[in-house]
Amino acid sequence: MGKVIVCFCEDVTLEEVRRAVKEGYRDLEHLKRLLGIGTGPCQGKQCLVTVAKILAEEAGFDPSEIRLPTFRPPARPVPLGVLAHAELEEE
Amino acid sequence: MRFQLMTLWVMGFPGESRILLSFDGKRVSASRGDTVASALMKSGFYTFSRSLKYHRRRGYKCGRGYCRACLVEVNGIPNVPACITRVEEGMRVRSQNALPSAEFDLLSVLDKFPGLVSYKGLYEGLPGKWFVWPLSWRLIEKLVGLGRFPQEHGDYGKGERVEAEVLVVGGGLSGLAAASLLAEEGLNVTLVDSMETLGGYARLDPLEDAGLHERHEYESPQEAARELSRRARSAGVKILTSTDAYGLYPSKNLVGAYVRESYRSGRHLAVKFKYLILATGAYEEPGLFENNDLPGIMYDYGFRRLIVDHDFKISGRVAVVGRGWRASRLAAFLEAAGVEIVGPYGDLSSKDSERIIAAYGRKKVSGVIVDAGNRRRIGVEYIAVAKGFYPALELAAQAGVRLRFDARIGAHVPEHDGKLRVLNNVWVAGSLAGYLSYADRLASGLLAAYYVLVAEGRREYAEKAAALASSLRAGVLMSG
Repeated sequence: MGKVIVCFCEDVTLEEVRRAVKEGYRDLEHLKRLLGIGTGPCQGKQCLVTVAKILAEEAGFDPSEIRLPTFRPPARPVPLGVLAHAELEEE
Repeated sequence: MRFQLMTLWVMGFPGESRILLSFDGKRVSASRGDTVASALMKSGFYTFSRSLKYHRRRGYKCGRGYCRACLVEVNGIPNVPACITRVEEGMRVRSQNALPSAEFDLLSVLDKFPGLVSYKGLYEGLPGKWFVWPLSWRLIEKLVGLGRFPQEHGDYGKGERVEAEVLVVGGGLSGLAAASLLAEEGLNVTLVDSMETLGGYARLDPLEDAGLHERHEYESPQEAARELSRRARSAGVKILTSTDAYGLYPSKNLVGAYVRESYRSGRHLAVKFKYLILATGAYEEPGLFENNDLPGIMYDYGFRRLIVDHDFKISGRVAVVGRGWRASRLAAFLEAAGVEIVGPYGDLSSKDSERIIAAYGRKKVSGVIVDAGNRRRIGVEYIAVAKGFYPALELAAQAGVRLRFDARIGAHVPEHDGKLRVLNNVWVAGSLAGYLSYADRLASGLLAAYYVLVAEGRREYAEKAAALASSLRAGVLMSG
């Protein structure tokens, strides 16, 4: 049996997400903390929608009831050197 | 001397202007237009690095820098996305998270026996004693770390501050349509796009599109992208490509962006805007089947880009995954390019009669297992995933815009007021706003521009906006 990967950054499998939902995790924010989805280099750009769909299916939710986790900057990776050198102060 | 002559003979004479780089010590020859990713694959290297936990093979996938599966170390700088980094003479490219190399990684044993190492145990320190902690941290770093620390310093400028009456984030069909109209109407417009070439997804789709032809008089999405880019330029839009908008700060009317100049240099950009149009587009939905992360499995955009931008020769069959119009268009595109395809198939997430349930292959994908009542194995060289796409809503979400689940596209979209407005001076357009067809995406960009003009006091655009909005509503129903 090969793995079905849901989160390619943190190597989280379909199996693991299903098991977590069965164990009672019913919120993307909780699944994120438990499994690490959305916390890798792509920052959830591939896994969040898939995990939301699995959650809806396994828990019998309507997808509209699912809340996405909080989004914070940076939306894309920025080298720290870029921020360190930038003259950001204003006024 | 003899060796050099041999090299010239093998790699081509200087007239052809080949660029030489190395990957894990092996020579790679590239042409000028190549990215690190396309150069490596043309030389037969599909595994660029290894994944963090199970040390599975990772390589090229999205083709536009967001999926981060293709990260490599270049000249001592870690985590460089190979797919959006141009080749340069003498680049030393190294794989990451592998011992000793991505091609042969001893740590991949973790994939076969995941129970071998307990990460929890490591974090808590190997059995009890404080003096083993530094050792266990070293071990954790080796096992799960992302690259090595930088061996070189990057070269980063002071950054710049720009003021724009209108900032458009995203240079696909909707962003380009909005930016060019607003500039033609005399506004000072800045447009940022994360890719090197404007045009978004449409740029890679050269086939005829009926809706686009009827409603906007462009033959193909590619032509629309080219024509709109030209219009934006001649209208005087200030265009910044290879620029990632990373943050939206609505209380300051500020967008923070990072202008990538090369793999090791770039600068910060702070854009103060009066009006903002978000046309950030969408990400692609991954395929769900066993071994769906093997090298050779790519998203629609990434696959098209190899062919259109890099003249990549596809040898062998391609399996197409996805059941919507995008998969059909991709299949048609590949057939027109003379590539043999199988599918389109569904995957584990679909209830289709023909689904891909697994991919197999040792170093890269070499076949798929298709379940169609009975199971059969089909040999393929690549798998192109064109399932669905879902809005790149980070900037809107950061700024506190409410998100609404859109059942039609099966994903969340930013909630707008019915007139594309999500905040006082911020509008959304294109696939970010949930529009699917090319014609609708383009029209929604125009519509957002109309609303900006109305906000700017140009009354004559109110009527135009109302007319376009109603035709767009009809269009949405047709293409849904």
